[in-house]
Amino acid sequence: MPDVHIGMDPPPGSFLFFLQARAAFTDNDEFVTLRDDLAEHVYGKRGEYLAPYL
Amino acid sequence: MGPIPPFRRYAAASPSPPSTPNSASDEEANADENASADETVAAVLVARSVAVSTALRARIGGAHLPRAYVGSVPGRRANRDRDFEGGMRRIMADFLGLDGNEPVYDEATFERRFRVPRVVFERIFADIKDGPFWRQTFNATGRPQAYALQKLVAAFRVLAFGETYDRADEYVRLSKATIEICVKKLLDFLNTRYQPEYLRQPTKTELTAIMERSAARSLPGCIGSLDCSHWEWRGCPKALAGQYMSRKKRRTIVLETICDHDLYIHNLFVGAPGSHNDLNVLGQYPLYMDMMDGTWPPKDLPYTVNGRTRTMPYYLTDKAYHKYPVFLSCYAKPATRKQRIFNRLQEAVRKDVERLYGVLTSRFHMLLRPSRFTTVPQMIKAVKAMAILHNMIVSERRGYFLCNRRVSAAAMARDGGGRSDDGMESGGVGGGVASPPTLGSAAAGGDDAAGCGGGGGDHGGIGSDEVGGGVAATPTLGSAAAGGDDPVGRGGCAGHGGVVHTQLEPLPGG
Repeated sequence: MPDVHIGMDPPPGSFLFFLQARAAFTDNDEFVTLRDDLAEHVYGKRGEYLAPYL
Repeated sequence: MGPIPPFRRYAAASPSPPSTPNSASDEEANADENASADETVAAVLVARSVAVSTALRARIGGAHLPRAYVGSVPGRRANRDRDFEGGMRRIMADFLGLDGNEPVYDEATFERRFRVPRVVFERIFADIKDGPFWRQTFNATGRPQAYALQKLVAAFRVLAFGETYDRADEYVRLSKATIEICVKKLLDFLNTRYQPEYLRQPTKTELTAIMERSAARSLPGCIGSLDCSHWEWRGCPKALAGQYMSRKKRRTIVLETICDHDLYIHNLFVGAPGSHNDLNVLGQYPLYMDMMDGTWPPKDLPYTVNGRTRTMPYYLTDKAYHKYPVFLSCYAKPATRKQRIFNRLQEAVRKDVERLYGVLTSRFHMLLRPSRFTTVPQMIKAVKAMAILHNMIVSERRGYFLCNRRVSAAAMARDGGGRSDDGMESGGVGGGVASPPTLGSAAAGGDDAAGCGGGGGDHGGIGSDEVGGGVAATPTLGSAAAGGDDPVGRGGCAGHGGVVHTQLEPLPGG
């Protein structure tokens, strides 16, 4: 997937819009970052979050 | 073959032109020769056509085939006198009360028999009773036919118990053919009438509520859980057997569902062949196309995790799905304690969708048993209709779920309202939108939205091993959790006041 760098947001429905949306949707690095952030977030409040399950 | 009938020669339609006297004898001779040749050819053609048609009839056994429609002819079997009025009286006496008497069965039994609470049943009945098929009609002899309530009860029994069309004849007094039509008409009606209201994409308000609730359950930005299940297709044609053969060697179709913490179904995709795995089904999912096009999910719902603000919400999935930011799965091989805790919580929240399949199959046994429909569109229609009924029930009841009651009570306590836990009218969760949880009530994760804990046994293709974390669901509202024969959360129905019962049409002479 090519990186799309453009100065302004493309109009919805345009080819660049689809390209950017697809790139954002299939971003594996973002997935890893999100999961790591969530793991960090959960770990910080693990006592509160795990309480109903223990 | 019988004797060939003599060929009859018809006169020409237009008179032939007058002939000259000199050539009269020659022309007569030629005409006689031509006539004899025509007669021979015609006789041969007639004999051949008779022989061919006789052979064809003998080959296909046409002489013994019944005609498709015979109409009112002597010897045709008369309709059975089923006593429609007697059947209607029994139904009313059992569930609605007749002649000033209390109904025989209470609310709990009503819901166990029809798998929907009375308020939902009566709403459907009120909407459907004047329909052209459902209202009572008179046949050609002037005899009154079945009542709308009888037809609706028969259709609900088929949905509820997955029984054959003939089974309810002894109670509702309707023929097998009529009950089959009733079921198909009811599925059509539910799809056309209620789908825009009960099976649609969530609005931004609803998404915001879901995200706030998910944040209270440790996962900010989550807008539901996504998973697949299978429904066995017994009536699958042999020609399609290979295509619809699942990995468990059964012919199935796939259901892909997105639900929230209240088990409200927000999206449903049915009909993919059972041989497809989760990723193949996802590739056909219209919602997935919308995601690829950037039209879903909405980008104007920001949330913050670990100090970073993001705009793309996500669904919880299992490890089979793509590693995309919109499908959040757990760590395949957790190495640290942090990752193990995250996996535990992710699986605990994601089990909502696993519970959904348990609730659906426990409630509507048509989904529990192999489908007898012969076409995929009929199965799609049936699944959607049952999802709509399920959503109608959740909409009626979600304010009474234990998790929502806790949230409401906590919110009231925090705001200084001083209301007790029973102040359900202040719950503010009904109407299709869950109230934003203002307390960090992670208890929502373990609460059972519909009184059915976990998988509900073997319900076709739902691997209970996928329900991670070993977290037991808490049965709510005194309902027996996940009873195979017990509908969902019925304990909460009886006392839910303010229900105005629909007035049913009076019986003649009753």
